[in-house]
Amino acid sequence: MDRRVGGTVALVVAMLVLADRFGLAPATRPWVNVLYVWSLLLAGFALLLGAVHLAGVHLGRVRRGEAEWPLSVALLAALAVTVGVGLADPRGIRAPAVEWIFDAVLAPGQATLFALTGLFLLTAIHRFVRLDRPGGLWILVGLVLVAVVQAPWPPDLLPPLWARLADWLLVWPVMAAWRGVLLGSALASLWIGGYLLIRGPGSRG
Amino acid sequence: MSTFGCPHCGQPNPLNASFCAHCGTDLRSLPRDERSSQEARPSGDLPPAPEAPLPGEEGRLLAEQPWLQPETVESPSPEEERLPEEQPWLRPAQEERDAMEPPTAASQRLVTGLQGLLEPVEEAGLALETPAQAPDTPPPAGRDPELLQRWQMRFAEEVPLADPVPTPMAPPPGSRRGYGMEWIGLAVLVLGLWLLGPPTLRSAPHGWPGTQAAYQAVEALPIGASVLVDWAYDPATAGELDRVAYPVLVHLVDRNAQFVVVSQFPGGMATARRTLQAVQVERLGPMQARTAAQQVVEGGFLPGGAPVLALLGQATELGLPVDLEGTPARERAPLQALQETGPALALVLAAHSEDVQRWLEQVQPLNRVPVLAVTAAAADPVLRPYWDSGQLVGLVSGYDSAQAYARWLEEPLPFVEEVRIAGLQRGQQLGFWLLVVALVLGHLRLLGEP
Amino acid sequence: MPFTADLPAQWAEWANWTALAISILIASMALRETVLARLAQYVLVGAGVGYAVVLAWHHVLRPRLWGPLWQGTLEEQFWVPLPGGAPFWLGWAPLVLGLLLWLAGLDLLRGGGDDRLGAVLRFLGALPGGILVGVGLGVALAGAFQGTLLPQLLRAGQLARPGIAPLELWLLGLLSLILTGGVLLAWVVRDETAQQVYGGGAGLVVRGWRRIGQRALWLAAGVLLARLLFSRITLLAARIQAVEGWIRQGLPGGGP
Repeated sequence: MDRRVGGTVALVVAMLVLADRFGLAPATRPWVNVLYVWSLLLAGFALLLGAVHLAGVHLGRVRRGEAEWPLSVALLAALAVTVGVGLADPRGIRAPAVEWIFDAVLAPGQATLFALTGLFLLTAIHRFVRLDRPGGLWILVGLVLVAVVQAPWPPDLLPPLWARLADWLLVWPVMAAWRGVLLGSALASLWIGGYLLIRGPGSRG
Repeated sequence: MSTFGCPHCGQPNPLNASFCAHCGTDLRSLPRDERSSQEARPSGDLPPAPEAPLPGEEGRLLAEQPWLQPETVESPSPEEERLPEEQPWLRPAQEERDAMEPPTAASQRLVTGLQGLLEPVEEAGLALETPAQAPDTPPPAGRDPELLQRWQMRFAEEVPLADPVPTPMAPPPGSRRGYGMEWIGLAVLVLGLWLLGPPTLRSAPHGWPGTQAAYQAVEALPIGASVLVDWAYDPATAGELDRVAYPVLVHLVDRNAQFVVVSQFPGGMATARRTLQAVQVERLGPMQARTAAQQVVEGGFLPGGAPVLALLGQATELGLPVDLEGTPARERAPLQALQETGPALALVLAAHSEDVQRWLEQVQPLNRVPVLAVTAAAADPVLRPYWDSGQLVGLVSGYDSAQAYARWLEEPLPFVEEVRIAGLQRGQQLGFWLLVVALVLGHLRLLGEP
Repeated sequence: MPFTADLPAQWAEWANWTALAISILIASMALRETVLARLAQYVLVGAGVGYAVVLAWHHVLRPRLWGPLWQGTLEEQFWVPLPGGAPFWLGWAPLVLGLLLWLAGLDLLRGGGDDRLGAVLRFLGALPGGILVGVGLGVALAGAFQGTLLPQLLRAGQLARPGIAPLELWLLGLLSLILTGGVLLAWVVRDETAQQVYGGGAGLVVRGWRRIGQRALWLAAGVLLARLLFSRITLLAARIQAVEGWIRQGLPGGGP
C-alpha cells in the first residue's frame, strides 16, 4: 500500500517537473519551485534523521558492550560536542568552537584520508596497467604521454612536440571518446527513467 | 509478529527483512527456512563477531530512506543470488531500489559515475573496489541471465581496472598478433617524437587547452560583476583545488567581482571562507581585504542535490536564505545585484566531473549563464566534450593549468603561493618516478610469468 | 587561525597538535590498521556528522522554515507568488512532510515491524519519500536530455557537417564523429553480436568501427588515469606540506 502511494506520488511529481522543464505547462512553474524548496527542506530533515540513526546504532553497541564499544563512545562524544557547541551558539558553523573542530579534526582528517588514495592508485597501476591486458598498450600510451607532459620538468628537457601531441590527444580523440561515453550514459538515463515512469516507480516490475 | 534473530547482534527482525534494523548486517544470504528456525536472542548471548560487522552502505540507506522498508526490499531471487557481490548493478531488482532512493548530494544523475568508470577512487577505503562499482547502470534488459553475463564479461574484459582480482588475465586467443602493429606504431611514435622535437626552453607547467579561454572569460567581465560560485569541494580535495582556484579567484578579486557562494558539500562553505580570505589578504593586504570581504555573500549549504540546483537555475533568490546565521543576506549588495541583473558568470569549483556536469544539466539550461569550470586534474578528460560544445566557456584543470593561468595575470602571485606550488611540484616529480617504478615493476612481474 | 580568534591563544596551538595527531593516525592506516587509527576514524565520523547536523539546522531548517514560520515571513522567504497568493497550509506542509519522514525513520529505528503502527508509519513516510523520488527522477531525466544528450549530439553532428573550412578542421570533426560513434557501438554491441546481426560487409564495418571506438576508449582511459594520478599525488604532497607546517609552527621559535 505504502509502496503504491509512494509510487503514485513520485510519478505525479516527476511528470509535473518534466512538464515544467520542457515548457509544456508554464503555469506549473511556481508549484515546481515549491517542490524544489521542499526537496531542500526534506534533505535537511533527512540529515538529522541520519544523525539520529547513527547515534542510535552506536548507543546500542555501547549498551550491548560489543567489540570496539569504546570507539563508539568516542564517536558519540565527538558527535555530542560538535552538535552541542554548534546549536548552542547562534553563529552556527561560524562559532569559534565549531571552527576549531573544523580546523583541528575535520579538515586534516578528511584531507589525509583522501590523500591516501594516491598510494592506492599507484598500487592499482602497478597491478593492472600492463601490456598483456586487453587494451593495455593503448592505456599505457595515454598514461605515459600525459604523465610526461604534466610532470614539472626542468627547462629544456621536454621536446615541445610532446606537449602539442598531448593537447591534440585531449582535444580530439579523448574528447570524442568521452562524448561517446556521455551520450551512452545519457541514453541509459533516459531509458531507465522512461521505464520507471511507464511502469511506475513503485511497481514491482 | 514473526521475527528471527540477527546472526550478528541477535536483535529481532521481521522474517522478510533484508538487513538487520539494528546493526545493518546483510541478511539476504540467510535462507527463509533458516530464518524461521532462529529465534531472537537476548543481547547477552551474542555470537562471535563476524569479519565485517560494521553497518553496510545499504544498512545506512535504510535508516535515511524509510520507503526502503524491509517489506518493500524483497529478498533476491536465487537467480539474483548467483550474481557477484562486486557487481550489485547486475541485480535485476536494483532498478526498482534505485527508483525509490531519494536524490542525495552524492548521486543526482540516474547514471552517475559511468563516465567516472575508470576513477578507481571515489572515497578512501573503496580504493580498488570502486572501478568495479562505478557503472551502476543496469543493462536495459537486465532480467536475461545470459545478457547479464555478457555485461559482466564486458566490464571484466574491456576495462582492465575493473578487474578486482590481481591475477593476470589471459588475452583472448590470437589477440597478441593484433597488437604487433600497435607495438611497431608505438616505437615509431616515440622515435619520431625524439627526432622531430628539438628540446627548447620550457620552464613553466603546461597549461591544458581551455585555460586561456578561461582567462579571457574572466577578463571580459565588467568590473564589479556578480559571480555565482558553486563551491563543490571540501577539505578532502582542498589540497589540490585551493591551488587551482587561487589564480582564478585572484583574477576575479582584481576585477572587483561580487561573489555569491553556495555549496552542496557540508565542508564547502567553511572551505570557501578560508580560501577566499587567504586570496583577499594575500593579494590586497589585511585592510583592503576587510572591504573586499563585503563583496562575498554566503548563500549557504544547500543539501538536496539536483532539484536544489534546478531551483538555483530558475529562481536563484528562492534558493538562497533570507537570513543566514544572523546576517540578513538579501540586504547585501552582491545579492541585490544578482537579483537585479542575474549573475554574469557561474564559477564551478569542483573536484569531480559529476559536479560540473550536474551544474551544466540542472542550472545552465535554465539560466543560460556562462559557466567557467575550475577543477581537479582528474575531472579534465571527462569534461572535454562540454568545453568543445561551448557549454563551458573555460576549463582550468589541475594546478599546472592554474599556473599557466597565473602567468597572464598583471601581477605575479604572492610569494607564499609560489612556495606552496614549489612544494607540490617536488611531490609531482617524485610521483612521476613512482609511476615509472610501478609500471616497470608490474612489467617485470609479467616477464616472470609463463 | 583567523576563524578561531575569539578563543584563547593556546587553542590555536592545540589545534595544530590535534590536526597533526589526527593526520598521522589516519595516515598510519596505509601501513596497518591499529586501534588508534580506528579511534581517529570514529572521531572523524562523529565530528563530521555533528557538523552536518549543525549545518542542517543553521543553514536549512532554521533560516528557511523554523524562523519564517514563527516570524511570519514565509512569503518573503521562499513562497513563490502563486496565483491568488500562497495558501496558509503551504508554509506548514514541509514541516509536516519532514515530521512524516522522521516518523517513518523512527519506525526503522524500532525495528520496522509488521504491526499496524509500522504499516501506518510507512504509509505516512511514503508521501515525503515519493516527493523526493519524483523530483529527483524528473530533474535527472530533464537534465540528462537538456544538458548532455541534446547539446552533445548537436555538437557531434555540427563538427562533421560538410562544407566546414578549412579541410583539416572538417577532417578532425569527422574523426571525432567516427570515434564517438565507435565508442557508443563499443558500449552497446559485442563483437559476436555484430557478426551475427550484421552479416557480410555491414558486419565488417560495424565490427571495425566498434574496434576503433574501443581503442579510443582505452586511450581516453589512459589519459584519465594520468590526470587522476596527478590529482592524487598533489593531494598527498599538499598533506605532507601541511604536516610540515604544523610541526614547524608547533616547535619553539617556529612560525607559519
